[in-house]
Order: sequence, then structure tokens, then C-alpha cells
Amino acid sequence: MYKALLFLHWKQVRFALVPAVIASFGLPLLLVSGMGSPNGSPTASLQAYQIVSELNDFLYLFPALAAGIGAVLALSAWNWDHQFNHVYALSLPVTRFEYVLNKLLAGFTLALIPAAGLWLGAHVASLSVSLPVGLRTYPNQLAVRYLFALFLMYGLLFAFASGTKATTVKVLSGVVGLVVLGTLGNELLAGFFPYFADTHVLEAVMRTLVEAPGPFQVFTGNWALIDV
Amino acid sequence: MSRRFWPVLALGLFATAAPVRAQMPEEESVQERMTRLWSHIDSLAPLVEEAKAARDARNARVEDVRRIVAAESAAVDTLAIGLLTVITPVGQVEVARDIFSEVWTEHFADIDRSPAASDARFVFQWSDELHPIYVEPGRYRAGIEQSETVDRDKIVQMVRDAISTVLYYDLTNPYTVDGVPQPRSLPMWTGNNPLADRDWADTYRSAALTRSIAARDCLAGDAAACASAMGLDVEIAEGDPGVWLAPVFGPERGLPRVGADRIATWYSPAERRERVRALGATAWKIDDRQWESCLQDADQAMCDSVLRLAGGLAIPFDGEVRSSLVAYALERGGYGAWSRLTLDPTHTPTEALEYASGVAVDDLVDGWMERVLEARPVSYGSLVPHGALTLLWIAFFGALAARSTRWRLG
Repeated sequence: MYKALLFLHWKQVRFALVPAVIASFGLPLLLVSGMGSPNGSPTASLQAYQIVSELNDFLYLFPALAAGIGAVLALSAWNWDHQFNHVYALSLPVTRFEYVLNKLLAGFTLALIPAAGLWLGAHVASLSVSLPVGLRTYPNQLAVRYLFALFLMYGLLFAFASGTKATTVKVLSGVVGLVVLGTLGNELLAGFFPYFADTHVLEAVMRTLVEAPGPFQVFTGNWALIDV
Repeated sequence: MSRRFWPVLALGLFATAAPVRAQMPEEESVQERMTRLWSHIDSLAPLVEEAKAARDARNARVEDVRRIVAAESAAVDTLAIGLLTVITPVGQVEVARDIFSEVWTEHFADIDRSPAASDARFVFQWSDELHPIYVEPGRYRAGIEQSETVDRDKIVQMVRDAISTVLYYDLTNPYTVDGVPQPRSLPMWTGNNPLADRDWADTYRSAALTRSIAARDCLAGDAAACASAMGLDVEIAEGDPGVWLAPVFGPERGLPRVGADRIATWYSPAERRERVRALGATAWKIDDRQWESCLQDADQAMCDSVLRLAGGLAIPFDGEVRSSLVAYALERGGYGAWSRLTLDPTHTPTEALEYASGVAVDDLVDGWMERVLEARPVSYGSLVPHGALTLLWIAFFGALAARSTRWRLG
């Protein structure tokens, strides 16, 4: 069952995975290009500050790439089912739970491919730079975080894609409603409850989502390939 | 308009201007003008005295109003906690005592004497209804006045910040010689408050990101390089650092006065060129020839000269790192170290640190280096618990997917 679903998902997404793997492998290399030996100086350990600060400007690309690939994997996982009105799945002698679990695991397996690409790229990038004392590279940690981010985005959108359009519309409407009411309603509430004068509902919700134990905390942690 | 109008107008204007030109004095030099104005300065004294008296009278009236309003507004109590005097509304005595005692015991218990803290009044209110609280004039008023929506941790942090700010005045207050205020060399050297909330991992980060060969040697375990990068023995020109002030006060304010040999131990040739590049071609007192000579011809003497002229020379370790050495000295010195550090304003930074810590400066820097290296931050340290949490969320999303109503079977 698992193998069949993996093969099916692979057929659906293989062409999209090629650029994903290339991007995952190339991004660390792209970020460190020209670092470690500025101006062709033989003293490669010149600018620790420059290395870290320049790298920091582009660190958001790692979670962004993970989110993008996770989304592609998740949406492609259910594409085939939606296209043929779930006839194939319903004809199988398995429960919904087993089917979803196998499909989820198949997607996780495919997510390992771009994560492996990033792991390899991060190692090659680490070997290509000569760092000053005090700085280190973290290719393994970065790859693990990348994998978790891929899994999370895949899991979230997998849940969305598995549901009906009505469910998706309800959830998205809820999000939009929260944004609108959280922005406009806060001032109104502050008139009645002093608590809301100092507390912004939307900000508080966002903070809850991106800080531990919120679901998106993996996206907001340290993504540095080179750090102290 | 008549054709005769313009010549007549021009003649009229010339006739009007001629007497004015004749009345103008001979051009006066700046020095002469200063001397002339200086000789008349006494005439301003009565006006100044009158203005001062008016100001004092106004301030006295404002103080009266404040005192009356405060007296009618709320009953207050005065607490003595450590060296601090805290004024708070009667209803908040317990909470003020709790928070101030906690902060004092945890962070400042080794301080045995502080003129600044004894002189200051800490006004504490943590309530939705804030009252005007009167503090007698001439005393420093450190206010921690927040609404109840602010959580306790933030209030504790504010109290800590307020106390360390007040205590820092012990270090920065100038002393006088023959009535003339003199700056203290220790605060000019540290730049930052050593009593402020400190994360040693941040200190390590600042040290690791310092663009200096001496700093890198320090992190590699060379204590002598640490001492050099600290610039403890370096004379610093009086004033606040800031290149933007250079056109007004000269570029050397707040910056070290050092020779070429010291510069060479601080910065590699490439780093010196980078510093010059960072100053920009339009920096004060730099001309194109100097700029090109340093950056294109790699003339090190010219780079050093440009750095001095344009204020680009700085002690490698920044105020964050330097003040951490003072914090470490206080830690080593234990009880009474703060008063020893601040007691003699004429002490050089090295003397003050040795006196406060009770150890020679070399040993102090050795210990500091070990402390900083131990504090190296662990990047990705929280990955394991965060990873486990992420897996839990993924399991939750998977469960949501399994419960979809699209299927009616199974």
C-alpha cells in the first residue's frame, strides 16, 4: 500500500522535485559564495561580522524554500484523488486512517530528497569557506531544521488538501476574519476593557503561532549555516 | 512707463546707499570682534541674573503645585530596601517591597555603598490608577510607574534597569579639581553600564564578530591579545565617540590615541583598509589622494593617517565587551567591589579594575577570557525539543486529515 502510494505520488511530483532539489542544494552554496576570502586576501579569516551579517540577510530563503516545497508536495499528494473523485481510494480494502497514514508517510519520504539535497549542499558550502576563529558551520543542524519545516508545511497543507472545499473556505475565512477583526476590533474592545489597550489580539495570536509551543516555531528559530 | 523712469530710479538708489556705505566701519577681524564683544560681556550679567531669578521663582511655584497635588492625591509610604529609598502608594507597599527586595538581593546585594542610589528616590506604582507622587527637588527621580496589564516579569526587569541606571551615576559623575569638573577615565573606557542585565552569550557573540586580529587571537585563547583588544592602557580623547560630531569637535573625541605599532597589533593591513573604506570617500578631512593611496596603493602609513584624521580608529572590543570585563571584576571582587571601583575617580581603568577585583589585571583578563569562552552560545541548542513539538503538530494535522468527512466508509 505504502509503496503504491509512494510511486503514485512520485509520478505526480517528480518534475517539480527536480528544481526543488537543485534549489535546496544550491542555496547554501549561493549564500557563501565570495565569503571567507574577501578581496582575494590570503588572510581568509578577515571579516567575521561581514560573513554573519551578510548571511543573515538571506536566511529567510531557507524556511521560504521549505514552505514552498512542502506546499507542492502536499497539494500534489491529493491531486490525483480529487481529479478522479476518490474512486481509486474508495475501491481499496483499507480504512480512511490507513490510507491517509500511508499517503502521509509517502510524502514524508519524498520530502527527504530535497532535505538531503540541502544537507549535501550545506556540507559542500561549509567545506568551501575558511572561517575566522569564533565562527562555526552548522550544516547538519540546518538540514534537520529544514526537514522539520518541510514536514510541518507538508502536514498542514496535507490536512487542508484532504478536506472538502467547504472546509478550506471556512478555515481561510476564519483566518481573514481574525485579521480584519483583530485589527479593527482591538480599538473597539480597548474602549470597554483596559486589557486590550496594551494587548493587540492579532499580534498575540501571531506570537502564539510562531513561538513555542506554537506550530510554526520551527520557522522562526535559528537558520544560520554559519554562526558563532 | 516713461523712458526716464529707470535712470532716475537707479540714481535714487545710489544716492540712498551712499551714506550707508560711508557709515560702515573698516572690516573687522574675527579676533577683534571677539575681543570687542568680550569686553561688553559684563553688561549681560544683570540680565542673566534676572532670568535666573525668574526661572527659580517659576520652578518653586511648579514644585509647590506638585507637592500640593501629590499630597491631595494619594497617601504614600517610604521604604528602605538595601541602599534604596522607594516611595509607593500605601496600598502597594507589599508588592514594592517584594519586587525591590528580590531584585536587590539577586543582583545588587554586593553593593555596600552608592552615593547615587542613596540620593535617588525610586517611585513605584503598578496599578491602573497612577497618582502623582512628589519627590523633593534636587533628588534623582527613578520612576517605575506602569499599569496592571504589564506582567510581573517586565516590572522586575524595569526595576532592575532603573537601579542599575542610578548606580551607574556613581561611575560617571565627574569629579572636580579646583572647581573644574574632570571626566573619569573608567566610564570613558567602558562606554556601557557594567551593572546592566548581561547575557554572556551576547558578549561572546560581540567578541566573535569583532573585526580585529587581536579579537580573534583572544578567542583562540591568547589572554595577552584579549588585554590588547580591550585597550585598557590606551588614552581616550575626551568626549562622546561619533564620527558625525567630527566637523564640530574634531574627529578624535572618544577615540583612542595610539601609535602605529598598537594599530598594527589591533588590525591587519586588510582590516585597516576595510575601516577606511567603511568611513567613505567623503569622510571628514580625507581627500581623494589619501583615499586612493590607502585603498588602491595599499599604503599602510596613509591608511593609519586617514583613520586617525577621520575618526575611524577605535578600540577593537566594543562597549558591550569592555563593560563585561568590569562586570567580571565586580563578580570577582564580591562584596564592596562596586565602592572600590568607584571610590577614586582618578584611577585609570586598570587601577580601578585591580582595586575592585583584588587581583592583578592579567589574572583578571585570564579569568574573563575563560568566562567568555565558556559562554559560547549553543546555536540550534533547542532543536531537539522543538523538533519533538513539530512532530506532535504534524501528528495533529495528520489526525485532522484522517477525520475528513469526504469519505463515508471506514
